[in-house]
Amino acid sequence: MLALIGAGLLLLTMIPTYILRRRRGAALLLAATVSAALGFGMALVPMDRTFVLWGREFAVGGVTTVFGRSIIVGPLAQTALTFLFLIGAALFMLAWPLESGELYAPVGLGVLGLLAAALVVRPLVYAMLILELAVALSVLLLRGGVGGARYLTFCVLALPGPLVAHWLLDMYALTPDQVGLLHTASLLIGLSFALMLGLLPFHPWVPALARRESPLAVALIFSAVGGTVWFLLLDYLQTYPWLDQSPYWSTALTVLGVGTAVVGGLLGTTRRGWGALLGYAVMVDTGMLVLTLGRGEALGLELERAMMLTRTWGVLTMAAGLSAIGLRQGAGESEGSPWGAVAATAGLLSLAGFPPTVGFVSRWGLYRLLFQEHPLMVAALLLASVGPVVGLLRMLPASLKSGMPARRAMTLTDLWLALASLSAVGLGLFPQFLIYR
Amino acid sequence: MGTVLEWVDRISALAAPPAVAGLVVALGLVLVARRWALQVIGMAAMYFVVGVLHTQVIRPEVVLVKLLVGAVVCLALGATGQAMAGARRNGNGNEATDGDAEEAETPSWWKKLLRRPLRWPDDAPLRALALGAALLAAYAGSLRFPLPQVPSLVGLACYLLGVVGLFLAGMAEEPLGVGLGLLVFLNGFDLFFGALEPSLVVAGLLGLVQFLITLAVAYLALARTE
Repeated sequence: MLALIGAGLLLLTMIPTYILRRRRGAALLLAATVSAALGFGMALVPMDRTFVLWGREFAVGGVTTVFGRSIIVGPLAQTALTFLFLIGAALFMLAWPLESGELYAPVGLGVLGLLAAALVVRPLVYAMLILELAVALSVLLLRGGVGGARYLTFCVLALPGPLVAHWLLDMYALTPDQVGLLHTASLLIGLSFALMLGLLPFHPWVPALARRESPLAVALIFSAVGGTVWFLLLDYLQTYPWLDQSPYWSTALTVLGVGTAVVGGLLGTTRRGWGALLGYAVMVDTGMLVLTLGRGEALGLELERAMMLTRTWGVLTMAAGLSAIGLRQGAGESEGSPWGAVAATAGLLSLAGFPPTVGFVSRWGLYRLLFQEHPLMVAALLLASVGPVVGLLRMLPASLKSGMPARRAMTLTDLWLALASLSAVGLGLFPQFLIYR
Repeated sequence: MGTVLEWVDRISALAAPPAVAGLVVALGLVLVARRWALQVIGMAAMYFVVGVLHTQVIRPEVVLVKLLVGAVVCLALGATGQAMAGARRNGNGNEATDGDAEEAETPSWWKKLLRRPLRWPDDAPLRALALGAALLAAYAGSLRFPLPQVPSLVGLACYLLGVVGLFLAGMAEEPLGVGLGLLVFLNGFDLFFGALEPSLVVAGLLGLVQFLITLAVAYLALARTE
């Protein structure tokens, strides 16, 4: 029930934040407060606690029925919702000094509310439809480049798969001798998630989106929307355990994961701007995540969650840095944003899994998991991780030349960026605060 | 309401073959023409024909809701097309397609359309070829992999909408064109899925998805012209 209240509250808060859109600071502060309160509430309130509302007793977690549809908050959904709400809070706080769009708070809240609903509503067919609504709404945060249209296209093309698979699985329940239905359903589900995650060969929307659009809007899509897609995929695997028992499952995920990471790494060596670099680094990271999922073991799933957390940290830090750089350029200032460049570099290094950043912690776990059986694959993944770092080294000199600032006092924005950069390194040195608890 | 439902029943009595033929004409208009006004007319015709085909697989009341969604979507597309053309006439556009450039020369586009009705964009033959290929692919697909739970002609219409939608989205140079493609594709899927899952909530959510997609592409298209 708390999840439903949370989703409803986020959607309702769209109204005051829209009214306050001209006072961006107030709107973003309100959005961040609501999102953070829900995040901490979801993490700290025991799920078995009950409360009375309008004379009826509701459980905080568990199963609730609304209009004949089940709202289920299990341990996975609880983790996902906490993750989602806290990402939202962090993004709204970062957007305060760094994002100039007036609609970031109301549209961002709407997207988060719909994503929260998608994470808890069952059957999964409704979750996919609500996810599609969130995707369409998130396009309103973009600036109208090609990337937005591509992102929307790939996500819309992903919609039919899970919906038809749902019907096929119902048919299979009635005729269990028709194993072909299961194979078709697996194929459709796999294809849909490949489209939404930007796996090879459906990757073009990822760098295209990151290259031209506002970095914090892209960060919301990569972390909140992308994170929800991952959690829904994990939910699919829990709901339909036969999916990962297929003999082709592990092989397909390994091929797709390594392929996406290697292509992302190769393209990452090119010099196409900071935004594109973010897109390629995300591709490399997505490849690693898919590969980890293909392991299917308990350790693999734990690693998967850790990687999602560290990936989000990297994306947010890099997006904050890119926003600071973009804001200075947009304002026509000749001086660069040194802290912006530092944050962008720290975020990218974390996404690339470079030591001692937080991204390295989870990558180290993956390399150790794979090294015994597949040393060549580990070598390929290491090389793929180096790709965006090479791209960074090619980008940095030009960025540093573009305008070193004169001595000036550190602003609040600089402090924000410095904290984000330091935390990306600090959590890499002391990862027990974030993962492995 | 009873009268409206009687009308729907009467429309439903139209045989499926004419409806599929009408669909080909409507899709041809959307795919081959590049003037936004003709494309919106094609989309409106497509929504109507898909509604007629829907009556063979779902309840007429639900079809009315779908037609309503179609009307709202077409109105929004029309308003977007007009706003884009207006922005380009004022010289704010970044780039213009052949058809839009012609519109930019004179404000009364419909007079020009009446004067020279046979003037088509340069890539019209290629687009007509794409329509032919889509027809062939849809026909072969519906024969080789017939869709379950739907009559064969409705299955053919689903394939046709899906393939033309993909072509439209793939060949589009602007967000509005991509949006038209996605909406056509979704209509094909909706026609098929309506037979599999006749739930009102699913129909409502699919309608809402279409509406939000229209809103999103309208926003992207207008943001590009600013």
